Amino acid sequence: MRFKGLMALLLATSMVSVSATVARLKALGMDETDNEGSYFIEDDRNIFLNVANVNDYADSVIIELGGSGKILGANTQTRTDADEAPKAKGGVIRKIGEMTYGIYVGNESNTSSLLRVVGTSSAAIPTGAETTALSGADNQIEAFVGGKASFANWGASVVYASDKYHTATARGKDTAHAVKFGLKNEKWDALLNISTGTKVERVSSAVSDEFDGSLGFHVGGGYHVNENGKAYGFLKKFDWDQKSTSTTPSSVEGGFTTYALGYGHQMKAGNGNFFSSVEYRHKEIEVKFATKASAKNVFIPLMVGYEYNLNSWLTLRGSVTQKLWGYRENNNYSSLNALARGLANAEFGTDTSGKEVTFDNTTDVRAGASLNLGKVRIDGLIGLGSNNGTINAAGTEKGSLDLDRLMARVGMVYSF
Amino acid sequence: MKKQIVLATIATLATGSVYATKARMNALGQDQDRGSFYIDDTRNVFRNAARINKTNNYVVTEWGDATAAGGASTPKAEGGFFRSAGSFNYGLYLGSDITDQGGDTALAGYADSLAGTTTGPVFGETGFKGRSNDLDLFFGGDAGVEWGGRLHYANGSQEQVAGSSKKEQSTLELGLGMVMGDLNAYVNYVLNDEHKVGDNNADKFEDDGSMNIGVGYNWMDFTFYVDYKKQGAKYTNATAAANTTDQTVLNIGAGYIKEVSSTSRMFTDFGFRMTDAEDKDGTTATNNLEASRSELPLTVGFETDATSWLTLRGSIGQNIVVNSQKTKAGSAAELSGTRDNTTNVNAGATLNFGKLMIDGTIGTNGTTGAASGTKSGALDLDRLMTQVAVHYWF
Repeated sequence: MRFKGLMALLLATSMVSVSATVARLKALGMDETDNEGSYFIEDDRNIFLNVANVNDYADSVIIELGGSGKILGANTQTRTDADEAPKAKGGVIRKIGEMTYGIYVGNESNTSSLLRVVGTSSAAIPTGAETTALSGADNQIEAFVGGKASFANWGASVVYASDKYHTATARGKDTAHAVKFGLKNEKWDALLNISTGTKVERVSSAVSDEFDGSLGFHVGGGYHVNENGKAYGFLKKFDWDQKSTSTTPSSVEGGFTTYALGYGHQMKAGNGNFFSSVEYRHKEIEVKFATKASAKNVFIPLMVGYEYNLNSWLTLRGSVTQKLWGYRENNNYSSLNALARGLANAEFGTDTSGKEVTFDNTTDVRAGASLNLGKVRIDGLIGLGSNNGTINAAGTEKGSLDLDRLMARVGMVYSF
Repeated sequence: MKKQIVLATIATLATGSVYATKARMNALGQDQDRGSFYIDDTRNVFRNAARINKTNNYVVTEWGDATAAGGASTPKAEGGFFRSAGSFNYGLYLGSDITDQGGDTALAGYADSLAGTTTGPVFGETGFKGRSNDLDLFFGGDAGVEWGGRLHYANGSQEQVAGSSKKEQSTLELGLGMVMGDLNAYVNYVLNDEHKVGDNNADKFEDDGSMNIGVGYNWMDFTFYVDYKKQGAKYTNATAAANTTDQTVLNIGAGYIKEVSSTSRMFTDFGFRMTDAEDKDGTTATNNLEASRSELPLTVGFETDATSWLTLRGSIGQNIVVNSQKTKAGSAAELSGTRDNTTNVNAGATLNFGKLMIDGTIGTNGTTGAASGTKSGALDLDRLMTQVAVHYWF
């Protein structure tokens, strides 16, 4: 009976329509490293932001098509989830009685992967041999539970990932776990996500590295100031110690901090919705080598977006985003390993030698579509094709509507 | 019994997408070759020949090339028909080489494949005559107990110029199965599968006891199963001692089907899988390689008739909790670790045109649209479906 209960937990009956997937929120301007959801647009992806959302998206199976993710440089141990090389992931959410349960696999964090690369010593990743970064989290599983209290819906989840390897030249292991809590009602919502442990190590005869997470949390919330508007804010912080047999001192500290205060607006217009948001965002990372490497971006992005149901089976959406104000202040990338330098360039912009430099060409237009086919929705990004129809990374679009490569980063949601 | 009636009703009324092809099995995260342990599908007849008594009166063609390897991105041309005739059922299937171990190519062994290396001994050689023109004959009936048999045959030869030896290839397999109420059992055994060159068989690649045996039991909406598969081969050439490679896979698990409605269903399976493989170099012991895996894979899938003409399906799977891998090369110390990137998402569709249906997998192409093993997460309309199969029910 226990086994039956477990299996029954995964499947169920009832009819609830759900929103969409990573592709929908990215088309509507989501610009989060981990694509964990929107602070003001309702979407099933928000279960990774505030787990109390799990109550709103019960009785669905979500699959995100893809493979093993994007290889960073020549490194295959650590990968990220990218538009042109999405990671396969998915899960099922089911309501049983008054409770909602869920299980989701493969949703490894991009931030986690990037920090592990940053946390690898230069000696381990010399230029031209970018194959030996600390491994990223793999085969991640997240289990959800949610319910309803008198004052709000609540949710909680446990995240766990573990892997190890042992080759003739090196051995390594990685363990990461976290817990998440969330509350949500019609007026406000609040979240607290805590990294309860991260430890990664790679040992070889040449150089041994270790990455040890010391503090990680993500706290945030939102408040509906009127029928259409919502104010929100969050603070995300992760500190770590990184050790290497190749550096002096052998142990250095690193820290990543990002916070934002913003306002999002959603207005119904006919068969669609008009979205807009503006926020103040600050993100910063530093690694205290003998020569401290640091990067800081401060900016105010404005997003304007739309979503329109053209007919019963097709929904189109799009957005334009631009930084109204901002600067980047980056310094001493040369202290980082070769692979991390490239990632820092992509994530924070080039090294400014500690000077404030404004952002160039920040206008970003995105588009997407949903095919509504009975109980199944197929979502994807459109307009990512290059001149020859190949799907490109965001930022290299050619403004074409391709019917051969119709949608990228495709996800499917089955509501049962 | 209740479940069988429901499934029979669905198969009759709708769209026929309940019974399909390799593409459907892949999209639902199942074994494309021998079918599913718990989902009804025409492919299951290759696991349990008695399944012919439930799935018959259709023609199926799997698109591809006769020389292709047969994977999801390299489909092989094959197909056949299955008919009922009074109280018996029979079928003929062409081009299925699911037990072909590739003796006509210089392959790494099973342990090498499991470990992701190519350092061990080599098996087979390109000079061998390749296996081709495979033929399966099915025959089954229901005498209170459903029973079925499958005979597989392939044969080829090539005379050489004077002074060179003749090349020969031959295969003979037998499959037997039964279904008695909620219980089913089967055995598939390779009686003979060999490639050889020369009258004295100086160079030879021969099967070494490959078999598949298992049992399943339906209880309510669950199916519990135990399946054991062994693959093995021995390669001999004129100048060295024989190399051997073998692999055993044990699956113990349960599958669950939730009929959400008459046009929509969900599938879940969860079980323990243990795989052991060993490559032995007859000449150099340090080349010997052992590899093993212990896994606990979870798969959740769905299938729904989106419209009267379109059925969509998909699945997500990943190893949960248990995910270990060990390798041992020669006399070196054993190396252990976990398997990387076991998360696997698949999707597929069926275009329903009355009695004729077209199945395929979707989302399998690369960023350029080329059909490949590298999934880019794209929905392509030029190459809408891959591993396409057409089946016509009469």
